[in-house]
Amino acid sequence: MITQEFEFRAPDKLDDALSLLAEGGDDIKLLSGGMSLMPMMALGLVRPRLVLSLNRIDGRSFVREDRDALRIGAGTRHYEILHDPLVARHCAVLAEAAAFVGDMQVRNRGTIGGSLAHADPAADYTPVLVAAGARVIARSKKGEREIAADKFFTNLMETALKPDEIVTEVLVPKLGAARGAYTRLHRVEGNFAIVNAAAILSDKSARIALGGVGSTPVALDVSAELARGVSADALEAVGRRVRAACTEAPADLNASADYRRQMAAVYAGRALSVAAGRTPSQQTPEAGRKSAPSASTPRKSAAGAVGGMLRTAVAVSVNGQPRRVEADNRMVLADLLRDVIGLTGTHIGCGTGSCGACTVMLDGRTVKSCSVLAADVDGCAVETIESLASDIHNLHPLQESFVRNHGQQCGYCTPGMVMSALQLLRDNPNPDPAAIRHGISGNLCRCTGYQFIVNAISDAARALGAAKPA
Amino acid sequence: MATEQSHPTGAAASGNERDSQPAMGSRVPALNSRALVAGRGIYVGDITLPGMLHMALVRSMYAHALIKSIDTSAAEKTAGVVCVVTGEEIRRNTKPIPQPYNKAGIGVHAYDWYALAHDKVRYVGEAVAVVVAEDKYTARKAAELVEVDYEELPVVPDAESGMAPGAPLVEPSWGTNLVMERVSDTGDVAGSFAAADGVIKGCLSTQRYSASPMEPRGYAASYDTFRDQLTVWASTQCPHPLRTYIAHIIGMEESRVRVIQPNVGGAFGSKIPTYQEEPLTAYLARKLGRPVKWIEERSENLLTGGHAREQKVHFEAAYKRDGQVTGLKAKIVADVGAPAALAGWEMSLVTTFCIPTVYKIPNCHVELYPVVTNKCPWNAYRGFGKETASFLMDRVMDGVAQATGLDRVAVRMRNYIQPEEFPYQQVSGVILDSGNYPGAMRKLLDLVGYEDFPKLQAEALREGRRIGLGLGQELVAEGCSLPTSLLVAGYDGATVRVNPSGQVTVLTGVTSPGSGNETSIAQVAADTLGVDVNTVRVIQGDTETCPWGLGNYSSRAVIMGGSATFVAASELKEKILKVAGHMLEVLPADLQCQGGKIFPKDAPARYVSFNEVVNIIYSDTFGIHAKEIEPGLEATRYFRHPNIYQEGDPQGRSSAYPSWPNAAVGAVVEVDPASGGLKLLRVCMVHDSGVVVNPMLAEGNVHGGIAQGIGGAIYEHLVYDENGQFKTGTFMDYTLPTAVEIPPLELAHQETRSPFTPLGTKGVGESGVLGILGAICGAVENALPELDLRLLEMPLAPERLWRAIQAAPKRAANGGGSVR
Repeated sequence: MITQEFEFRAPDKLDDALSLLAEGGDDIKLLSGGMSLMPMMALGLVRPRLVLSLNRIDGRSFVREDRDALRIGAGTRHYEILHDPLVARHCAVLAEAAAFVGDMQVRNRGTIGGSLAHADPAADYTPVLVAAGARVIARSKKGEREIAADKFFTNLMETALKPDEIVTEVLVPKLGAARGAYTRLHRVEGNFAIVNAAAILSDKSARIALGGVGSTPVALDVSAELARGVSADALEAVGRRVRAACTEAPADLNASADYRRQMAAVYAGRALSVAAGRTPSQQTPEAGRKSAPSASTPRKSAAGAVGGMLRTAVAVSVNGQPRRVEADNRMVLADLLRDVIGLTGTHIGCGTGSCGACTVMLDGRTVKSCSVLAADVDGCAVETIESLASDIHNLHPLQESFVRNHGQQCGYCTPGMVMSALQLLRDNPNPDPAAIRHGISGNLCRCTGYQFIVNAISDAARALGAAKPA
Repeated sequence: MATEQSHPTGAAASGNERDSQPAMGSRVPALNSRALVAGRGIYVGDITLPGMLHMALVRSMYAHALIKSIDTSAAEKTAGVVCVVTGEEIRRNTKPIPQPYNKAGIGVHAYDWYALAHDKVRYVGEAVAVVVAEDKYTARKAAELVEVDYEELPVVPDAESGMAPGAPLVEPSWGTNLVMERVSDTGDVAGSFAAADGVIKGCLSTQRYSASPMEPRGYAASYDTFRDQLTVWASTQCPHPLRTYIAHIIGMEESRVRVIQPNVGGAFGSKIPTYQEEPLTAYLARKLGRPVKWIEERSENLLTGGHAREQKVHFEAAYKRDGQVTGLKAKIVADVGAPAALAGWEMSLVTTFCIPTVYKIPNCHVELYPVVTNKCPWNAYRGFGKETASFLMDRVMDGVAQATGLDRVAVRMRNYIQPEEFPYQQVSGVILDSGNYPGAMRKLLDLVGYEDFPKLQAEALREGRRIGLGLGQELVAEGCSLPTSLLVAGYDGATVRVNPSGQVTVLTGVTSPGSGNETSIAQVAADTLGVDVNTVRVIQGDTETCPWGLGNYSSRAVIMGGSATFVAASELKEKILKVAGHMLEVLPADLQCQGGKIFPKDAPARYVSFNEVVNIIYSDTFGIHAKEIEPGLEATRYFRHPNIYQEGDPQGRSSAYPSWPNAAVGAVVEVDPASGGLKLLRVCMVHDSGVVVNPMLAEGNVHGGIAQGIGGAIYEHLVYDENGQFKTGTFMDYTLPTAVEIPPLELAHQETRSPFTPLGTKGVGESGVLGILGAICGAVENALPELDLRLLEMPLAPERLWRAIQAAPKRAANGGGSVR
């Protein structure tokens, strides 16, 4: 729970955001997706004076071709990158990394610009962007500049951004004939990578970049080692260079510094091997499978800061009903639903975006409502578990399937699980068990061991498929 | 839970008369599932009362320190704060939290634990003060403003340090850090080792662990000043004992306290009373005359919501060339955290009760040293120490197989207690009720494909994949009963009421932590009375309406509550048959109840309907058919498990556990030797929980147990540093397995009836947790047969496994063949 009061602003225009930033001093936090910021605020690790949301600024989400590069808007959400056809065609390895970011709900909300600016040393995009030679475009009131990805990350969670700058775009070179691969080691799905590695390989050159092994990514040109192709000897030589380069690998609960160094070598080798085995046009399994669903509806609202700047007037549609509330800025969407509107089917299991019990649909895609500020949903449409069944005799077919298959026990994770399953089936009406497990990996259950949940979702997919006219 | 269960769609409210199949043994969907999947469960967090206040704790930042002074002024001045209470007031106005049994009576050190610490703190997170405010943000914010002046004391960071000579004392009045000591010796241990063909030895360890129910703890209390009536809504497993304890602690008459357990979002032992926050919420509601609510944050749950499992077992096993294990020595050192009033450290005691599990090893020497440390106290957690015993014995059996070159199955078969030997008194004194361990193992070998596995393994190896198969065998002690305990005893009650319209209400003393036992209990009542299960409603978890009972732990809901329901329903059935017999002019003994009809066993067509008979009993009390029976159709009966022995046998051994479900488990893993990464591919289990009332619910329970077992084997680990500072306060650090980590789970049942319960049930609540630890270790070793790898330390996180692989000596070349 966020205890410290703060001001909240969500301007419609980038220029207004830049002005606020220019005036504001350092204790401003920009909110793009918020998938890292919100848990940090909930844990009291970050206590900004002002949270400046970029979510109401139109036109921050796009992927466009620009000669030899792709221009990716900083507000592009991870799921959009994962499913974007241009990314799939020209830089599939970026989508491969996007697939590892958190879980479905995090990918639905988090943005590439937010991830870059947060600069977690084990972030999934980082090694890919560094290895690919991407450039970050930052804007301030004074103008715009490009920063090379390998110069962008300056220290642990620090970047080359000046206090008055906002990331607006990422320029990713088209891979052309080069091949890329991304690999990572982690404790559990959705958790931080212990180490991660990206490789970009062409006939002439080979570059790798590694995350999790220091405060900034480690990038190496290994063209010389791989001059005669990817062989065991070549990879051994790469491994030696990697181990030598990762001198500042950190130690934490998951891994010692030495292990991280060793694993950096192992995973660098794997990324290179996978890349070498790919054809230039080959896509990663998930990338570009389908085009991204249409982006959220434009948001209209006259609401703004009230009550001494610590509260915000919010107009939001909840299960089709318009609601107007004045929210304490510390309030998250889950609290708004539960404490203000009285929809208690949305549960809070961790409050830091890990467990998924609070999953709801925000503008048509699932998010963890503990990690979205109530003030930030002004003008949005929210659907909760309560929207699926009018009464006990008229459950949604997915809910019927949970009942039939005993996909719930204590029922605490269930509403969030059902919402995630709904999202999964909308994106992929015929998921196999592995796809189901991946799709609900953002929802923890402690009772069922997931087996009957997987069965229930499979069964529901069959039932829903059968119900549709041929 | 206190709310009534809803009927599935279409359940006719009027008629019992139908050709229904017996409910027991069928996959009846959970009766409360429709509300739960719709998000209409009601948990403590969902309860809002007019004028409700919110409470936040000030928690110790030190592992061990004196409280010099507390400055509450800044917090009190915060707008919206109603009051700040410190340990001094609690010390003055309340009693210590009662112990779950009379510890002094059996030579166990006890500690007077108050709802707030007053003179010193003994672990990071111990509650020091409490802030009550108009809203939860203000309460938490103001709690950060309370300034506590501490004087740090030397820390006992782990059990070994606590046992060292001259160690600082966690509780100085004890003069030791040992809760107790226990040495048991049966048979001729020295002789067995002297005569052995070989001895294996090692030190096994299980890590500190958290139950982590998805719903953290939560309590709400409301006091009616004019009626002197306190109502407490608690996410608890044991509402009746909690009522007694709260009344005692805050000094109220028990009859004026009502505890309601609404839906509980998982518990797994960790919501057994009594925590500091339970009486604290009640005390503050009474003090302030306004409702007070406390909903735990996840970080608090990980820090203070009861820890478990941190044990080391130094062991030696003597064996014969033919695989017989003839002697066992085990020295168990448990790091049980700070002294409290939770039923926690006893888990280490249960480890000793269970050794040597399903095997006949007559010569056993077992030592137990539970050590208090400056960490969160243990509270009960699924497995309750039994997992360490099963893990130990699996490692011993695999170790003997490696040492002798015998097959892992053959060694187990050589040592099993045989099916005809039950009831079997194990060396610790416990009496195993029934079982067929070789049968379960044989069934498992078929299920997992043991014979064909080497072929699969060779195929995988050709693709460069290292897969392995491991075996585990768990023995789960259930139905715990402690002497002198209000909370933990081997009995429970139920009220069965047949209403005038023929529908049945069951009120139980057992409760559901979210596992769905109310459905199984409805099935028992339905079959006993011969009515449709959809006409049965089960009400649990309300001290005002339900009969006294001890709630939920140790898989007792169906063992005790199901049996009590059976006994109470049978009493009503007797009355109903008497009246029906009179109506049909047939002896009651010759009648049968089924499908809402009562008929002579030899003439089913000549029936009277159940509802008709019930109607006569209610409305024609003085009429010819009913005048011989006592009016009314309601019975409250208690079931006391007959396989509990509190008095010692000639060797002074008692038996606290009456019920012994068991299982054989097979795990298939893929190992990535280069990283130490581990991927489970399959888990198969044949479990024997006696008669299974609802196979679907039982399987769901076992699945959950297996997943928690997997969490303990690979992913979950609560970590403290050497200063007693806690390092794993979020789910990003304490990593629960997701659906991706848990493999497909395949189950089969074996039903060996308990001879001691009326329905042959044994309980299924903890099954699945125990055997998986050894099975995974065995599978990893099996995947890397070229290495002399002996995995004894949990969890198998990537770096630990990688280091073990790096350190393992190569085996003498035997062609890289599979070692079984």
